[in-house]
Amino acid sequence: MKKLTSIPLIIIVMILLGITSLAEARTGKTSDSSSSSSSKSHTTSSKTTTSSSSVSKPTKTTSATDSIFANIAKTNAAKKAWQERNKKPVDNAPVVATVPVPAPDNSATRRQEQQLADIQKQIADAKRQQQIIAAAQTAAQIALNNNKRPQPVPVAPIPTPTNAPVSTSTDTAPAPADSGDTSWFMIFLMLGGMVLIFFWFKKRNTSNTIYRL
Amino acid sequence: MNIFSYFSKLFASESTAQDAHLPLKINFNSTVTFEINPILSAMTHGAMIDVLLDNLKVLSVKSISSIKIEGMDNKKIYRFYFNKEGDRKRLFLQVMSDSNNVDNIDEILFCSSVTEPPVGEEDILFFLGDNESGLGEASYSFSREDLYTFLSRAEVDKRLGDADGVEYTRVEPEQDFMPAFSGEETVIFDAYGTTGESRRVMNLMPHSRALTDTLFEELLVAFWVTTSKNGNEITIEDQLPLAEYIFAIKLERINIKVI
Repeated sequence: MKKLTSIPLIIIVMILLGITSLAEARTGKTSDSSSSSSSKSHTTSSKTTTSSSSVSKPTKTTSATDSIFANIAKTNAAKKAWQERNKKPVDNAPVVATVPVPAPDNSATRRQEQQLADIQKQIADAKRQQQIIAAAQTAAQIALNNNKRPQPVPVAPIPTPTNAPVSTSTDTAPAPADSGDTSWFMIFLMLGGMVLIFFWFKKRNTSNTIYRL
Repeated sequence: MNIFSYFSKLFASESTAQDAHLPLKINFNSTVTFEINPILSAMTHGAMIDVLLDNLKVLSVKSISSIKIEGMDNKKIYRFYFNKEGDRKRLFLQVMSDSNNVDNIDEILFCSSVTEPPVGEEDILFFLGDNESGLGEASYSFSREDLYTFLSRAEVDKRLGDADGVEYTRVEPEQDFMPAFSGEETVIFDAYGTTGESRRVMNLMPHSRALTDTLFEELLVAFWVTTSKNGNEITIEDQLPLAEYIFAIKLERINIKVI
């Protein structure tokens, strides 16, 4: 009996030991991976870059470092050097050196040019819109003229009120003629609308174009 | 003028798609397929172009650019990029054609390139070709170690063989120094150019290297900076200059299929 109870006890202890060892192994693994990544960054950062522009023949000057931090550092260094490089000519200019105006002047003129371009674009847009409106008006005018022309023709036959059943048929006759007029007008209106929508789409794309090849 | 001619005139003047009339009739909807043989042949003879040959079967255009080179008003360079924007390694087709007639093509290059920022001011001066040294000298060379930064070690060893490195020569190598080309690159990320970039190309210098008696590899070294993105100007403080090494193989029209 004692043996029987001790066997499950041993099994439980073994399971517990197994769980704890597994947990330890896992934590060990994560620390391992972190140490390996840090060792990688160590090796990459130890690869120092050398500039060989002093050599008579041009050679490729930099060596790659895959580390994110090294890349950020490289990027920042390049940006800084570029800024310095762009500042220098202004400082070194022999006569204008004392005048700190040129840089803001440039940006001001650029802004002015940009504003001018914007205004020109707006004027062009407005002009285009006017053209579209004029086109729509012309279309509407033509539609109206077309509507006016056939009108006198169907009005000519005036029905006599002698026959009651006939009169009903003649009563209904002017109505389709009227509806025919409106349908033409509607067609022109719809066409005008479609043209407007087409140009609106086109214009939307044109006005959003920033970069031209 | 009647209403019809008026409207037709309006319609005709409204072509806004920027990718409508480009060389080889490539646009954003194009799928480009390359004949593998010329590229494979160059690679087996030691070219440093970095491309997976399987990828050449179907390539879709991700962005398109045009480069105006100063002093070359009658020519224009078009680039069709197959890589995603912001990738360090870029893959593109470069076509040089007449500015007025894109069907009159002078040169087609299949290119793979690597970009990296210069290290310090000395490097910047080097890529600017200041004091008639650096970029613009008669030749440009890469050591084996340099090449390891572009390609895998195994690839470099395979292509380089026993050589210590590679050397590319500029045109007219008898001249000690030749100022590099400069210009402006406009990149569009969509057909209408509503998104894109403007890049100032400070220096661009072509070189070449003989792989065999009849086969050549081209190297273009460029130094450029993005000056605006999606319509927003990038100030000097935020500008990042990049050096780009473009390895290229010349192709013929028949090597390219555009679907």
